[in-house]
This record gives sequence, structure tokens and C-alpha cells, in this order.
Amino acid sequence: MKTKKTIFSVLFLLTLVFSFMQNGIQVFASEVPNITTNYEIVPGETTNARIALENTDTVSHTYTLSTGQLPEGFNGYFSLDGNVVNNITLDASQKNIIDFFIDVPLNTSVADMSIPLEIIRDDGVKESLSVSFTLNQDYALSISSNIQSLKAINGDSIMLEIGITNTGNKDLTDLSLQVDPPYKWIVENVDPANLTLKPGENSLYKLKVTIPSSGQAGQYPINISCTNSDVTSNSISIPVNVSTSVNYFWWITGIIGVLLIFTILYFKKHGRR
Amino acid sequence: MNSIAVFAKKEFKTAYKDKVFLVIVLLFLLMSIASVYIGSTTKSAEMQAYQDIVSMAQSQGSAIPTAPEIYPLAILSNIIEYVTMIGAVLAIFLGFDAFSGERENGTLRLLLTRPFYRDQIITGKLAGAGMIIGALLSVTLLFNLGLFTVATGMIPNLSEILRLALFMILAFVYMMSFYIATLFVSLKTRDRAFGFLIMMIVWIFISFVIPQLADTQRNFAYALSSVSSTVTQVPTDTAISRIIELLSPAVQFKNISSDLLQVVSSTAFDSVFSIIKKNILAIVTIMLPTVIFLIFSYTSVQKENVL
Amino acid sequence: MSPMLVVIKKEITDALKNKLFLIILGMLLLLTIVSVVLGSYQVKVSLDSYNQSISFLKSLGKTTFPAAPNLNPLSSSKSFVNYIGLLGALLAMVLGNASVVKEKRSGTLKLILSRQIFRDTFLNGKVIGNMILLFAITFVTSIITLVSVVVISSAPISSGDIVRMFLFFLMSFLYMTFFLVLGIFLAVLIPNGNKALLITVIIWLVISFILPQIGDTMDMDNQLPGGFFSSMGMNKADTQKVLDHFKFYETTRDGIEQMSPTKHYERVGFALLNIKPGFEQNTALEVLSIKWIDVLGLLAPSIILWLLAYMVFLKRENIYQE
Repeated sequence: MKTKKTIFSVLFLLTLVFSFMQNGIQVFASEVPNITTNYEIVPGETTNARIALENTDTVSHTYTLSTGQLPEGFNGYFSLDGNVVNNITLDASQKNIIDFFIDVPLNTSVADMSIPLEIIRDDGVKESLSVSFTLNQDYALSISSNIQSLKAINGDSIMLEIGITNTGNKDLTDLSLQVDPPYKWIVENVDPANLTLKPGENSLYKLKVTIPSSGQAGQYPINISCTNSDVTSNSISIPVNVSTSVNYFWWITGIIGVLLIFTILYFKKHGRR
Repeated sequence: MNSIAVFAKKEFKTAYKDKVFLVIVLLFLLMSIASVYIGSTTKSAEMQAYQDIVSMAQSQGSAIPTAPEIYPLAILSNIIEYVTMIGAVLAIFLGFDAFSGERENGTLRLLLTRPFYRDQIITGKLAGAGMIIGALLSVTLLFNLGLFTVATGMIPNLSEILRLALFMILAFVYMMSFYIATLFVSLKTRDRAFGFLIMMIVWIFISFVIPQLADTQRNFAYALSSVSSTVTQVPTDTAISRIIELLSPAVQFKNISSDLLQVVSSTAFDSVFSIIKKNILAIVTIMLPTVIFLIFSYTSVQKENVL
Repeated sequence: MSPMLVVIKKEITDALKNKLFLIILGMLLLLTIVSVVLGSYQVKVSLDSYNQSISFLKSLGKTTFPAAPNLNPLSSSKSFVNYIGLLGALLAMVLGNASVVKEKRSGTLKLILSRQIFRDTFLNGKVIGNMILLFAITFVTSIITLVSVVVISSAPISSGDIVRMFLFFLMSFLYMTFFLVLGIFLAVLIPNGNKALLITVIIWLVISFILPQIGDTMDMDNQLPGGFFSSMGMNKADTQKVLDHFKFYETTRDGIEQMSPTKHYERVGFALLNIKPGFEQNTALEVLSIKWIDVLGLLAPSIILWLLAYMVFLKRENIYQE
């Protein structure tokens, strides 16, 4: 099951009105209910805020948009009509709605934060506003494994144990393991098939992966994550060092050895000339 | 008996007495039979895999994917590779000692003392080689049709038979182009082995080196796209790669054959005439060296130093 | 001077006078230069293009950037694998066949064998002399490649990369040695020199093209563009359940591929050149230890053929007749 990405389109409306006596940048609330100055973000997902910008001046202006310092792992950018922008030009009295996207990393310790946004007009007129966030920790999941790397031979099966923890505030049901093995590797006996975890509860997945006998020697990663309809965990990668069975070496060396002995005996019998 | 017919008959008999040549012919036949078997087995495996997928989807209650498009003639498509590889080498093998062998054995002088025109020798050898290659391809065609019917249970319709026949004619022309080039080299070189190896080098260039050089130009465009984060998943042709490919009759042969044998789904149900029309430049690319070497051979055999 | 050394010296001198050898060698060097220059230039353009993209994205205010493409400078040698497989093998076959056949035709084989030299010593001299030539050729091409990569591509190249490159050229040398020994063995076994050459070429065709082609044909996922399973909209989990039914088919397919030294050369070559993913963190020697079966697949047939050539050459009474 693929990770479901839900984009929250929470309309965040700022009721802050900037009043500059001579000329104005107006960032205003649009006529949409459920206005809030604070909105939720979910780990691993992208949140969309909307800013309505109005040029109240009598001439056209270009406005540069920027964000202040974001916490580590977060990424914020402005978008207009689906294109990433860092400035917008408005004619006199023109309004426009700009989207502000914020990408939230899967693992973050930030619970509450306030992001400053800055809008600078081409003549230097500046306005700042803050956007507040609260992390929604209802659904959060983490997986881990003690295995640093594995060694195996072609044709072998390996057993993996994956630890899983519900790090959110709500129950998680129908959790299933998503295993992405290398091409032609077979994943079998994932136990349990589905899992339910209460907040703070741990469990263990066990699974068997079979390496094809025709596989080449090398290092291959098995990528694993866990998911249900509400959340997807972090992804872990377990490298498996596959080598060829040493039996082949003995067979080939044996054949060469036999042939060498035969050659020596042949020379002894017929005489070296 | 007509002089040309005499030479042709001699070429035909001599070829089939040569054990090495017979080994190559057997290899070609075996590979084409194997390709039909492998192709149909793989297609059967795909259909079986599809049935497994359908059962799985039905048990999970999810949507059933559409069946893969399996075009009948595509089962025979591996033969394109075998004609390009083994067929070309077979033609080279037929032609490499056509003249240099006669010269080394002393039979060329003997032939030229008889009341034959020199061009009749060339024509006779061409006819003989044409009969050998034609016989081989006809047997391959019949084998493939028979195996195809047995393996798949399908009987090809008229359009499919026409496509297959045209493919065989093209394969004939392709192999004859190598024979004619080798015949010319055999006329010019004194050493049989040298002539053979020169043609092997030419074959390597036409079949592998030129297509790979063209490929590097194709990949070049692709790399630029992926780095600037625009989506271009499939390497695209560039003007340079197309020009380079024109130098290789092997690539042109593969392109036309892929259209004829329904490897390319977009032309799988086009008429034979529209395929020919689409690939007219490729056909000219295959025919042109053939005609050039033929003319050179006829002019070279008239010279004194051919002895 | 030791008789073997005399034979070695003669072998090298004769090869350098062989017109065909010089033609093939010239083509191989030319192709190497062209492919390496093109490949290095491609790496340079990718690097420049990536840096430009980063600057552009920075100007848009983005703080996260796409990962750098795999600017593997060693990959500029990728085409060389194919050229060695074709021209390098042909060169080695020509050398091997000519080293015995020319002696027979010119009558010098009778003369040499009437001297105080054992037949096996004579054969050793032939093989070693030609191996020295092949080693020199691969060494020169490795230097050309290294210089082109460093000068043209401007991509960073570490000492580990240099070791990998030289080991790759060592594998190329082992691959060509197999065909050299094959050429010599068949020239010794078959009285007719031309026939021996033709059979050598046929074996090369089977090993280098037909066996890998059969392996590719039998791989179901190669039969449709984009892969059979992805065209079905199947994900990995479902693919695996289906593949489970075709284990024997897969084992047979792999067995056929294993019989081809060309496949072994390609596998170890791609691992050393980082063209096959998964070996980036390993040192060059670690790569060889992981891919030992492929190295053995190059060495073992050469050793076996060499021993067989000894036995045939020792016993044949009519060895100097054609």
C-alpha cells in the first residue's frame, strides 16, 4: 500500500491589517469561515496556507516574499498557480491569493513553532507576519532494526526482525509492513500480517526473505516501512551482502586440479619432448 | 549448361560439403527454432503470470489489470538478433574464400582459361550463395511457421504471413549484402584469413560499435534532462544519434524488422505497404552498400591483378 | 638466453609486424579514445548542468535540492567493456591463431622443434609473449582512460577510483587472455589453420552473443518495454508471489549465462566501474572478493585450455603439417 499523502488545505487567514498611511500592502482575510491564526501540521506531510495579498497603492508594485529561519528539516516556499515563486507583481488595487507550503519532516521534535513571513515591496516598504503551528501528534509511527548489515549466500533465506513503536497519541490499527526488496527476491511469512498498537506500545515484526539462487554477488538494500491509512513510519534500509556459494570454488578448483594431475601423468607416460 | 548455372551449382554443392559451414547453418537453424520455443514459452509464462495476477486481484477485490498486448509475430522477434549476428557471419563465411580460396588452390587460373566471361563467375557465385541463403531462410520460415502454430495454437492470418514473408526477403537482402561485400574483399585480398577477419571487423562495427556510439549521443540528451529535474524517463533520439545510425545497415534492418514482426505496438496492425513507406530510407540504406559492392566486384574481376 | 625467453621475444616482434594485428589494435585504441573522451565529456556536462540547476533553485529560494546525479567518472569506461568484448577478443584470437599457424606455414615450426627446446616450453613462450603484448595494450589504454577522465571530465577522482580502474583493465587483460589461449589451443588441435580460426570465431560468437542472448530472452521482465510486471501495474509484493512459480526457469536461465566468460567479464567490470549499484562503499579489492566467481569464470577456462593445449601439442606427430 502506498503512502497516502494528505495535503491539508487549511485556509489560514490573517486578520492582521497593515495600515500604512501613505501607501499600503494589505494582507487580508478572505471571506472564508473557520479563520484561524494557528494550524496543525502532521509529521511527513505538507501543509498549505493561503495568504491574500492586495496592492492598495495607485501604481503597480513587485513584492518579494521570504520566510525567516525555519527549524531543521522543515522546508517552506511560496507558490502561485502551481509554480514556486519568490516574488509577485500586482497592479494597482489588484488582489491575489498566494499559497504558502510547509514540508514537515517525518522525525521532528518541534511541537509548537511560529514562522515569520516577510513581504517587501519594491520600494522597500516591509511587512512581517507570523504563522503559528502546532504539531499533530495523534498519529505517529516509528520502526527500527538492530541489524547493521547481513551476510547471505545465493539461494539462502534470511530472517528479519523489525521493531515498531506507536509514538503518537492515538491507537493505530491495521498496520502492515511494506517491504521493498531487490528484484526477484521473495518476501514470505510476514508475521503478524496486521497489527494494532496503542499509544506508546511496541511490537515486533518477523519476516523471511529468500534470495534467488541466480542472483549476483553484491550488496543489496532491503527497504522497509510500516503504514496504515493514517500514517506512514520512517523507512529503514538493511544492507544484505550476498556472496556466491564457496562450493563453486571447490568444484572449479577440483576440476583444474584433476586436469593438472592428469597432464603431469600424461607427460610422465609419454615423456617430455 | 548455362555457365552461370554451372558456377551456382558448384557453389551450392561445395558449401554443403564444408563441415564448418554446416555447423554454422545448424547453429542458425537451432537458434531460430530455440527462439520460437523460448519466445512462445515466455509468452505462455506471461499469460500464466497474468492469470495468477487476475486470481490474486479477484481474491483481494482489487481492480483487474488489462491483459498484456501479445502480438502473435512478436513471438518470433528474437530471430531478428540471430539474423543480424549469425546470419551475417554465415554470409561472410560463405563469401570469404569465394575468390581467395580459388586463387590459393590454383583453380581460378583454370577457370579463367575456360570459355567463361569473368562477370559470369561473379554472377554464378552470387546465384549459388543466393540459393544457399534462400534455402536456409525458407527452411527457417517453414520451421518457424510450423513451430509457431504448434506452440501457440494460432494460425497466422494473411497479413501476418505477408509480414513474415517480407521480413524473410529483407533478411535475404541483408545477408546477401554481407556476402557481396565479402566477395569483393575476397577478390582484393590474397590471404583468405585476412579477408575473413577484415569482414569480421566490418561486421563488428556495423552491428555493435556504430549503434553504441549512436546510443551515447542519445543518452547525452537524457542526462541533461534528469539533472535539471525535468521528467524525461526515456532516452530520446537526437539528430546526431539518428545520423550515426544511418551508417549501420544492421540498425536499419532491426528497425524495419521490429515493425514487421509486431515488436513495436504502434505499428503492429499497420499494413505492410505503410510499413515499407515509413521505412523507405532504411531500405535504401541496406540496399546501397549492396549495389556499390556489386558494381565494384564486377569491375575488379575484369582487372589483370585478380589472378 | 633461455629458449623460452627467445620464443617470447620473437613472438612480440612477429606480432608487431602482423598487419591485421596492427589494424585491429589501431581500431581498438581509436575507439577507446573516442568512447572515453565522449564519456568524460558527458560527465563534465552533467556536473556543470547540475551546478547550474542548484544555482537556479537557490535563486528561487528553495532550501532543499535534488540529489546530485551519479557523477561516476569511472563510468566513462563503460563502452570499453563492449569494445574489449568485441575487438579485444578478436585481437586476442588473431594473435593466438597466428602465433601457431604462421610457424606451420612458414616451416619454422619444424626448425624450432628440431632445436633443444621442449614443446611445452615453446608453447609457454608463445602464450607468455602474447600475454605481455596484451598486457601492454591494456596498460596503454588504461593510461589513456585515466588521463582523459582527469583532464576532460573535471569530476573528482580518488585513489580508490584509480585502483578500481586499473583492476578493471586487469580483468580486461584476463578476458583477452582467455581468447588468446583458445586461439592457440584450436590452432594446435586443428591441422588446418583457417579452419581453426573459423571455429575460434564461432566459439566466440556462441560465448559472447548467443549464450547471453538466450539468458536475456528467458528473462521475462525483458520481454516488454518498461518490464512485464510494471506493465501489469504490479508492485513488488505481487511480483514476488508470481516469480515464486518460476524458480526452475530462473535457475536454467542463470546456468546458461554462467557458461559465458563474456557475462563474467561484464559483471566484474560493471561492479568495479560502479556502473552496477551497490559497490560504491567497497574498496576495489573488496569488490573483487565479492565477485570472486566472475574472476574465476575468467581464469579457470584459460587454465583448462592451456593444460589441454600442452597435452595436444605434446602428442601430435603431425603438428607441423597443414
